[in-house]
Order: sequence, then structure tokens, then C-alpha cells
Amino acid sequence: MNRILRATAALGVGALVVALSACVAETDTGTIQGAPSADADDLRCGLGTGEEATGEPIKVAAVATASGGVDFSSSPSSAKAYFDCVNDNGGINGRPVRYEFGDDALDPTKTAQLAAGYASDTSVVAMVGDATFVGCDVANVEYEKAGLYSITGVGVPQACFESSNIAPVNAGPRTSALATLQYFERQGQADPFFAIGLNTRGNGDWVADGIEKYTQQAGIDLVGDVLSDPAESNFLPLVSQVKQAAPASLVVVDPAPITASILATAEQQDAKGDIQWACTASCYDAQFGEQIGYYWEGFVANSELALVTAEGEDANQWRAVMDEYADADAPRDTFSQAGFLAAKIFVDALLPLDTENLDRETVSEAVLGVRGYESDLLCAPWYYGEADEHHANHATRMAIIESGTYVELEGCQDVADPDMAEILEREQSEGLLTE
Amino acid sequence: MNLLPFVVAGLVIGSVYALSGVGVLVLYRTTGVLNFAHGAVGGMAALLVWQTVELRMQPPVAIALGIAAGAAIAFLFGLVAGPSLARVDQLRKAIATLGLALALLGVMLFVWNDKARTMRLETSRISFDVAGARVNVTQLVCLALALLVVVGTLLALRHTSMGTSMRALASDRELAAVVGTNVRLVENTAWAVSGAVAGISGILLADQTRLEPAFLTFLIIPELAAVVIGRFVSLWLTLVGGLAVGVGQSLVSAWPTVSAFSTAVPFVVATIVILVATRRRVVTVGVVRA
Amino acid sequence: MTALEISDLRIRRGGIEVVHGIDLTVNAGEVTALLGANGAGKSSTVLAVAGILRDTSGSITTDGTTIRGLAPNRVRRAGVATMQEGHRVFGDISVADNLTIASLLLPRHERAEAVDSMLDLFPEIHGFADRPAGSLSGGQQQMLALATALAARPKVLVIDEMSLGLAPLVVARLVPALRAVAERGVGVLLIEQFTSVALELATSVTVLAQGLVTLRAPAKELLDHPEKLTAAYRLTEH
Repeated sequence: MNRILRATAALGVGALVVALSACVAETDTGTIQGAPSADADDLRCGLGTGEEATGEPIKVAAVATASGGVDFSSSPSSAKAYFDCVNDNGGINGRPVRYEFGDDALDPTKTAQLAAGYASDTSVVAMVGDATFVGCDVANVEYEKAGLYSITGVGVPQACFESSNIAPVNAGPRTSALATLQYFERQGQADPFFAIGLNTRGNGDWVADGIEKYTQQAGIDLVGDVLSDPAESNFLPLVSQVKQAAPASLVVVDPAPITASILATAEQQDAKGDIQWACTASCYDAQFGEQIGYYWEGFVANSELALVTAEGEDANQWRAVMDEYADADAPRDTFSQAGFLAAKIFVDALLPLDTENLDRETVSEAVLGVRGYESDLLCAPWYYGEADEHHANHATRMAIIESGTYVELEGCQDVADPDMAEILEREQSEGLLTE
Repeated sequence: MNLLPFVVAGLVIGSVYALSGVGVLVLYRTTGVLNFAHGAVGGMAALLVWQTVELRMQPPVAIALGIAAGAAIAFLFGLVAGPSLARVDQLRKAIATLGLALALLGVMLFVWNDKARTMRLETSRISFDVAGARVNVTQLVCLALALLVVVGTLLALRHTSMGTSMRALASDRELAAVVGTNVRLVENTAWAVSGAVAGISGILLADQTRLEPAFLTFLIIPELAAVVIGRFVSLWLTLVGGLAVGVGQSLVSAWPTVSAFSTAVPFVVATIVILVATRRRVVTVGVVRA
Repeated sequence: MTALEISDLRIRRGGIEVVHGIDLTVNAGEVTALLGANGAGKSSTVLAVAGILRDTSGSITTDGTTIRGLAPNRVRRAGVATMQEGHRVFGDISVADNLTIASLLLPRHERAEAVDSMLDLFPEIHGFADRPAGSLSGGQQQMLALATALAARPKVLVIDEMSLGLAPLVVARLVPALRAVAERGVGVLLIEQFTSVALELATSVTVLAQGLVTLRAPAKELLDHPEKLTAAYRLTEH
């Protein structure tokens, strides 16, 4: 029986994959429309010698959620693309970076296993470009024991921002939601306000907590703060609540597919009204505007890094490196920028070191010592530093959908979070914002 | 609060659960296989429609293609796995389809990334107000189709040779074979038909809810609840069951205090039906004994 | 003319051989009785002919067509109808539809007529055409089972335990019906518990004991010498 079942699976699945892979390659466009074209100088990564690094490889790893329903692999993929570019340009003073990443398949047990595996392999000098959706807490336990540090590309749950050995390049959903709220506040459109999120522990509740605290502090009337089940199919109640509450603006802090369904229901009920609808960076991706349709012209989203079409030294290099070193169908999104930037920060931290003496200890010291790192992808300098929480990215940009695509609405703005006082204080007292 | 929009939305989703449940029921009765992959087949059909429309195919053609793909996937599985499934018990049959569901889910997650997708059928763009509830044409199609499929299936089972043979298989497979029914042909037909029904439901559900592989795959749960309410026998009760689950979910979600439990509605309704049905049987036995 | 020819048929059930190479011939227009004690291999033989038991060797042919190893529906299509033990009918399906299912083997335009003619053959069930078959009495169900087997005009009819569990009155009704079937040219293989019924209907008799043929004789001879039959039942017992 097994053989026959396997044959069925192989046959049916095989035929479909073959049929579909043809379609998919065509639709996922490799290059970004509306972005400035690449320059040859953009591919001078790292030392920029143009010579291949042939020395003893330096082992670097990452843990990311690539399967199980969520795909964050664009972060390690772009990190890998950058490392490949560095290796073609003299590497880390002649030594190439050997990079690999493990997929935790949305399973924290698997995250812990992968983290423990990399932690026990002492030839792994650092973790770069990680993007696990579920396991920052369990991974941090392993890293801490082994003195291993991660320059994480994308962190989503609270634990990713409150760990000693993990520091994300992105801003996270809480900051992104607060950024959206504060944008509306600046426009005089935030009162009353409505927030929609996901009922997930350490994530949705963390975001909701931030919005509650901030609205209270700012004297904004929060007329709705709804957390829905991730498996919810019926968004009509939610839309009715929004209609009834009649806020001036609202933010959806859900993964893009759920946001799209909520918007579809709202469109079906013609519930857009005079409300300013917006979402966090999770739905800032090129496909989104086209998917939700013309009804949602003027929809607003937060962007945790520079817009994918932005002009700038690092923004240009990111696009050029992706075109040259990544798969044509690899996503060109914020997560991809984050992975790229994590890898770049890492390389820039290692270049000044003594190449002969690169081990986990010296690398960790260099990584911890990163401070005042500037990039046009970021709004403010990024830093690591020794602390129990890491949340350097707290200044973001806003985008708006015009003719189905996102364009910049507002440039860099600092985001206020009542719970981040300690971080801000440390930035000043330890001088983390300057090199 | 005006509950009418909730009732309408519940009836619409419920009618698609029922539509889908009819496919599950016909296949189960004919082949003895409880197909846990029904939702996954629907998801695959919906994603194929989305993909082909993205490639600028005419939506009606794309939909026809999606439904055909649903039928083809189920038919192929029935064709290859059917003979071995006929020899194992029901639990193993069901588990084998669970395998198919996970394989299809894997393929969908592999081929389509987790970015946002929406399915907007042309008929969803035409909508009107009914006593404060917004109704679109797709929703009317859902309701009409569910009714049509139930009536059509009943008529087909009664008046066509294939339908008669399906009833024979449902009643006594061995006897059916002995009196000359081409068991394999009838089973393969049942697979293809239920696959097509899965495809239609998948496309409608994607339009009405979310176009996501895992989400559509696990809609098999409310669909099965409808079949359980139909006690694995009755098409009409399956329709009633689907509508009950849909409306129940929708109404529960209307009240914020209990809305978190709306996903539990299929289980609750199915459990109540099983308990009531069991109790009634016990009572009957008691009467007979007395 | 030979309607069904079985030669050197061996049957295994659960890997154990229960019938050890038997030969059997059923002539068209005649009833051939297959007798024997419980466990002699009669039912196994029926199930093997019907295609339900497939772990077999030897040969079973009808009209020169090999049917051994074919699926039940293909055996039936080859012209060999089987009436299984225990008046087996589609209990939750109406009497008329029971017959319709069997008539599907016929060309489309002949089906309705075949169903009607079968209902006419057994007036006892005619009035219940729209009732579920499961609601009929045992005797009526056996009539329906016989009618179902005959609906698509088989060339060979294999009957497993025709009168088991039925009232004598019902048996008395079935016997002439079966005789009429044979007279129309159908070759009948009858497995029967009651030797009196079997000998009354059959032209020739084959006796099985422990999976082997122990006696082959004309029915008339056994009517005159019942002791031969008794001996054959016990022949291989030691």
C-alpha cells in the first residue's frame, strides 16, 4: 500500500509542481519597478577588491522560519547573497564567509534544536540574518550559554526584542503599530483610534499593550482594540465593530493575508467610509496593493526600513546584490533588506579585526561593540551593546498605496513607546548612537 | 445590533460548507473513504484559479480549469490509491487521505509564498442592500449552488445509472460487485465528482474567506461537522448541518464576549448531534427491552 | 452443453488450502447440486466462482471464457450470476431499485422491461416494489435475491443455500421457480442443506467432503439409494 500511496503522491504532486513552477517563475518579478537602476559600483561589497577570497572559511549561521505557513527565508537569503558578494570581493581580509541557515518550520522545539546545534559547533562564530517567528526565547537560552550572538534580520514576537544575545535589525510589530498611530496623530486623525491584531501570546498582546499605553498617555480615545483568532474566517463582526465605533483611523497588525481578508470583508460591506485604514509593515510588500484592489487607494502602511524603491548607497547595493546573487524569484521586501543589512553590519564589524584571530570570542566582542552604525536603509544609527533587551530600530517611514503600488508618504520619524524609556536612556548614557 | 448581516454571512459560508459536505458524503458513501483532503483539494483549485488569473487568463476559463484540476487531483488519487484503500479499514482509509491533505498542503506552501492573495470573483463586485445587510451576487450563487447540488445529487442518485450504482455500492459493496456493478468505474467517478465539488467550494470559500493554503485545507473541519450532522447519510441534513454551523459561527462571533469561541462551533454542534443521536438510540433499545 | 466447467480448482483462505482440486461440470438447462457437510468447501467454491475469493488455482470457464481470477462484476458480465447465502439484498434500497441495479448490465432500453418481468415472476414482492428491501420477510427477500440474480439474464446461476432458514411454504414456492429457470436453458449450480430439495431439483449431484469430491452421481440414483449419499458425506472422515 505504501508504495502505491507514495507513487500517487509522486505522480500527482510531481505533475502539479512541474506545471506550476513554470507559472511561478514568470510572475515573481526579480527586479523592482520604479527603483533606480543599478550601478557597477553597487557590487563592490566589503573590501570591494573584485578578487575571490580563498582563505580559511569563517562559519556563520542563521535560524529562520521558512516553512509551516510563514516564510521569513527572504532574510537569510539576502544575507547569503551579500556574503557571496563579499566573498567575491576579497572576503573578510581574504577569508570567505561560509553561511548556512536552518528552517525551524514554525516549531519552537525545532528552533531550540537548531540553536543548540549551532551553539555547540564552536566553529560558528556568530548568527546573522536570523528570522524565526516562534523561537527567539528558546534560541536565546542556547546562545547565552554558548556566548554566541545573533544579528537578527527579522524579529516579530516580543522575545526577539527582549533577549540578551539577539538584536533585530527591524523595528517589530509593536513599534510599527505605534508608528502608524503616531503618524495619524500628527495628521490630527488619530482620535478616536481603533486597533486590530492577532490573538497570539507574546505578539498580538504585546502590540495591543503598546497601543493601550500610548493612547492613554496621549489622551487618544481608543474605541476598539480587537484581537482575532489566527484561524478566524469571518471578519464581518470585526468590520461591524469598526463601523459602529466609527474611529478616525485604524491600524491592522496582522499578517498580510489576514489583513487582505479583513479588507475584502470591509469592501464587501462598503465599510471604508471616512476611516483612515492602515496596517503595519507586515503588509508593506509590492504585491499587496494590487491584491486588495482599487477600492483601497490611499491605504497606508508603515515601513520599518527604507522603501524598496528608495535611492541610497545601501538601498542600491541591496537591489544590485539581490539581482546578482539571489534567485530571480526571491522576494524583494523589507525582510530581504533586513537580512542584507544584518550581513553588512556583521562584515563591517569583522573587517577591522585581526584575521588570524577570528573565533567566537573575538567575533562576539566585535558584534557587541557595534554602535552608531549608519545606513540609508535605517532612520537612526543601529547598535548592539550589552543589555537584556535590544531594540535599536525605533524610527520608521510611512507609505501609501497610489495606483496599486506603495509610494513614500512620510520620511523618517522617531516612534515613541512608553516602555522603551530604559532603552532610550541607555542609548544616551552609553553613547550607543555614535561610533 | 443588527444581526441580519451576521445571519446572511453565516448562511453563505454555511451553504458552502454544506456544498462541500455533499462531496464528502457522496464519496464516503460510495467508496467508504472519509476524505480529509477535501479542503486541500479545494485550496489547490482556488490557488490555481488565482495563479492562472494572474497570468491573465479569462476568469471563467480559469475557474473551469480550477474545478477540473480539483476533479483531476481527486480522480488521480482514487485511481492509484483506490484499489489498496478498498482492502483496509475505514480508519486507515481516512488516514491515507490525511496524508494526501498534508502532501497537497506542502505543495501549496512550496509553490506559493505566504504573501497576501485575494480572490475576487466578478460576481462579488455586484452587491446590494437587503434590510441593512450587504449582499453580493457570489453569496447568492453560494446559496443557490448548495441547494442545487443537494437537489441535483438526490435526483442523480435516484434517476441515473451511475447514481443507482453509487447507491448500490453504499448499501453493499460486495453484493453490488456480484450483481455486476463496475465498482472501480463507480468509485473513480465518485472521486472525480467529489473533487470537482471540492474545487467549486474551494474557489467560493477563497472568495468569501481567505485565500491561504493552510486555512482552506483545515476548512475540512466545519465541512465534516456538516456531514456528521447529516449522520453520514442524509444530504438534506448535511445541508441543514452546514447552514447551522455557518450561522452558529457567525452569530457567536457577533458577541465580543464569546467571539473567541466561534471556531469551536463546528465541534460543539457536531458533538451535540452525536450525543443526542446516541441517546435516542439508547432510549429506543430501552423501550424494546421493556 | 456445458455452461460452467470447473477443473482442478484449488482454493486457499487465509493462506490455507480448503478446496484441494475439484472438477465440476454444470450443464445448460440442468440443475447440478453440490452437497456436503458444513466446512466441506461448498461455499468456498461458490465464492471462488463468483470472484470474491481469488486465491485460487486451476480453471473455471463458462462458454470457453476463463473467469477464474476475475473480479466479481466481470464474472457477472461473463454470464455467471451468483446468489449469496442468507438472502442478501440491498436492504436500504427499494425492491424495484434492487432489480434496477442488477438490470444495469442490460442495454438501456431493456432495463425497465427486465425489472417488470422479474416483479411479475414473483407476485409476492410485486406489491412492495417501492418498499426498502430490508422490510421484506426472509422468504420475500430470498425471492428478491433470486429475481436480482436473474434480472440480467445470466447463462449460469450459482445459488448458495437456497432454502436455509426459510419456511417450507416459501421453499415450495422457490422450487418450481428455480425449475422454470433451468428449463429456460440456464445452467444452475445449487448448494443446498436439504438433500430432499436438492434431489428433487437436480439432474446430477456432486458431493464434497473436506475439500475433495467424494461422489458424483445422477440425482435419481441417490433418491433410490440414500445410503450412498450418507457414505459420501463421511468418506474422508477417519
